[in-house]
Amino acid sequence: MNCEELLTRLTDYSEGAADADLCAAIERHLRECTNCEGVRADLERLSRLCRTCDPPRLPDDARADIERLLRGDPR
Amino acid sequence: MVDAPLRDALAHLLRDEGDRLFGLALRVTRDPDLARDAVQSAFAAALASADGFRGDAALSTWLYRITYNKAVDALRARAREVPLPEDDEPLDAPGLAHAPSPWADPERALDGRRLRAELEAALIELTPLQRAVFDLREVEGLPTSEVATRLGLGEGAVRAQLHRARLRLRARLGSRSAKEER
Repeated sequence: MNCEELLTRLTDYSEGAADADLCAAIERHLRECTNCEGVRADLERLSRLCRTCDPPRLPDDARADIERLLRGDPR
Repeated sequence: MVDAPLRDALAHLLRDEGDRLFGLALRVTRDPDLARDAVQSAFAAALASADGFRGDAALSTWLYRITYNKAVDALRARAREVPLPEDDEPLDAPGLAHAPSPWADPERALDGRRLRAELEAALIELTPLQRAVFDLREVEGLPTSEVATRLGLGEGAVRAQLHRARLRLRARLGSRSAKEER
């Protein structure tokens, strides 16, 4: 497996969608290629960063508007 | 006339999923006003389409899909964004991977608030679909299969869009880091 092939399959690998042979080939390449291993590690860090984002909240007035809509109340 | 069980089911969904639906719409539109309009329109559409819903799970899935569609419609209507890259644009994975690591600078790597702000700004690089996939998978943490169901995509398509989103964001964050160091 070369770098280009690996870089197109990294998410298949991290999402558990790669079969055993592909996983083995990816892991072999990652052990030998510091650049690709660096990209893999960065994508993992990116995922972790996202998990720390504050979730947005539906504004109260929008929620109240939808509640009125669901009750069938006129505005 | 809309039946009471549907109204009740939608009220429960508003309570349980309202923030997440808004989060999805906000990620796609990057505009709070457009996002709230998209969520409101999605609930109105659900209420107007009383047929065909059997249980909260189907309704929830449909609401996510229609919220995404409403958000994209709102974006198109307002036409605020410059043309975005197409979802099926060829992926230059090696080219994107050449960008420096966003975490190369130790000081920056430890500044989570700054990185999160830069991440939000970098989302402009993505297509609306990539932002939706990225939000549901990476921010909400839903499994790929659930993201696929909620957006009406195949799982392979979700992984493809997610991969594009991840590589583009890494490249954008890394390029920004490199510019600041100069």
